[in-house]
Amino acid sequence: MKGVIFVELLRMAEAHAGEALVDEVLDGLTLASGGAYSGIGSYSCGELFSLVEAFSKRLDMPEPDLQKAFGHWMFSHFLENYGEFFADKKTAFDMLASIEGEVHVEVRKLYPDAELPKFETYQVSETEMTMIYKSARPLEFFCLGLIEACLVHYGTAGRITPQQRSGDDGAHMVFSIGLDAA
Amino acid sequence: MRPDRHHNAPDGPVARSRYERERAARLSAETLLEAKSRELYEANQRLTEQAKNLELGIAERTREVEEAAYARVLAEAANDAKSSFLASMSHEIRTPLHGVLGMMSALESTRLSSEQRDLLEVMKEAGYVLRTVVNDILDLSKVEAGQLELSYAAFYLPNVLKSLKQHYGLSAASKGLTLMFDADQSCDCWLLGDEFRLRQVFANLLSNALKFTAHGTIFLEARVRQEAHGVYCLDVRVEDTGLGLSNFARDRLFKPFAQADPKVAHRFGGSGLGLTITRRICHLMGGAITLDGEEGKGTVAQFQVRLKGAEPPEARVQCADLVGAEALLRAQSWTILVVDDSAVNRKVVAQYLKRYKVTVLEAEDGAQAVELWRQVQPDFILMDINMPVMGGIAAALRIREEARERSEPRVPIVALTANAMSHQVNDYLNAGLDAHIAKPVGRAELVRVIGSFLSRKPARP
Repeated sequence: MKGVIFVELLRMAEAHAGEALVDEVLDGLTLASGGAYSGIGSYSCGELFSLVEAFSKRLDMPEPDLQKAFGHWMFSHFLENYGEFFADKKTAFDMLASIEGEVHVEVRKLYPDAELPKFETYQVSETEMTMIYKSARPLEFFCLGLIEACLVHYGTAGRITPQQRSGDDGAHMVFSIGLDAA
Repeated sequence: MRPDRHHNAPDGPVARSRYERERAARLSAETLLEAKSRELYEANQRLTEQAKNLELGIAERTREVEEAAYARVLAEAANDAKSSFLASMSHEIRTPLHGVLGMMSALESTRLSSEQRDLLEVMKEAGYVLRTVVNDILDLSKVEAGQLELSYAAFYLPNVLKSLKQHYGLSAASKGLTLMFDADQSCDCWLLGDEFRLRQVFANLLSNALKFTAHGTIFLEARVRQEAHGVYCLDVRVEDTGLGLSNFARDRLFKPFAQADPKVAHRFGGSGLGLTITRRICHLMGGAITLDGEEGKGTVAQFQVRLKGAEPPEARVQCADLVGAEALLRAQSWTILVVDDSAVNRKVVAQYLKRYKVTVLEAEDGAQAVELWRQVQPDFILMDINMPVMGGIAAALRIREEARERSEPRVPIVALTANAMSHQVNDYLNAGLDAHIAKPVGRAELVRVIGSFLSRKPARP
């Protein structure tokens, strides 16, 4: 998993709970990387889940909520650093629909070895979209956070109904997104 | 709660473990970046190498293409040289051949013993074969140079068929063959096209049929169909009961210098060029030619050509027949001016015309011709084209201009030359010449042409 995820998770934790708590958590875990992450490195996915679990316990915040909050955080990070992807998307649906065919294409150019989740989108009507998320890693609530942040960014109110579809390893989630009529 | 990304870290000393982690992260980032930049450098090197190889490849390919183009230019030049050599040789051979054939004709009308007459007959036969071969080679070199062009003049199709029937009927009879022509009412028409080339197609098929048939009948069927836009399609079938064709032979026959069987060349002679030329003529006339038939069961040759219809020229006398022309030349006295820088050629014409009531005047160049025309006002002028002092075209232009100024009657001027390319012939016609005869010319053809012009002329007082 790309180092930027780890770096940003720690930054979010620091922003919320301060450096001391983050240091404590890191010192308390046995991590192959020793908790020394750089944005350009790659690290074991297991370390991320260890960190999420530890922060969840330490902050007394359920893991799904923490993942969701991290989704919001990462959306802001993407917006700040990769604004060009958002510039020509007029609506939240436009943005969500472009992840698989546009954003991920660019990511693969930079990181040919990146293991990316799959996002299939089906726009049912102007206010309804179905998004199917498939990933080797159970980060569906992180994904939910990203979708929520996207709606917020485009100033669109709506409901997101997640439906678990998983039977096999990893995550398989269907998000039904319904926008409030304008 | 939305997290605050700009939450300030507390001031003060940093824990040792944090410091170590940050340092470790920086080190690992530096190592990664170092590896990445080496990778980039190497990729860049490979790219430079590839670009260099690509340039070398392109240069090599360009060189090959240039070499191929150069080789092609050389080959084309060699082929052109061959064609132009053939053309100029044929031309050079035609001129003296004209003299030889003419003199043989003249010799025929002198007192000869029967043995001499037989020898002369063989000589004439050989001479005509040689003339055909030379003409074929000249035509083929035109075909290969893409210079076989057609001229356009109105002609009467029944005349063409009639003279073919006359000519080949005699040859057929002498071999004990029957020659049958079936041309129905549709053939009774005037067409616009190259009569000479059309005759060549007929002649080629008929002479092949005669050559390769030992017993039986040669049958020619001709039909004319009207197509759209005033175009007429002439459909001709020539059937014989001769050797026929093997599949192998059919494929080969349209190729230059090919004969159905190498043995044929020995047995029957011929240059093997006829069908190549014939096919080209058919194509130029918007048609095609096919050969069919089984070995031993005769051959069926079919061709179509497309020609525009023509109005029958009012003043034109359909002077296809030699008898009429000869009668005209004997009926009254005529003055004919023969212009040629070659004394042999002038003599040939004079010999041809000796038997008629014709006074032949001779001029060596165009200037002499103009002078004689002013003094004598001949009935007909036979004009060579390439001559010293003044050429035939310049002389014709001068005569036409002076005649117009003085409102004198228009004298027929016919070019007699070895330059038989169509575009040249068109130049002659534009310069005020009335017609063109290619050297070497036979007596009959010359007399027919002269007769056709003189018959339009009011008789001299």
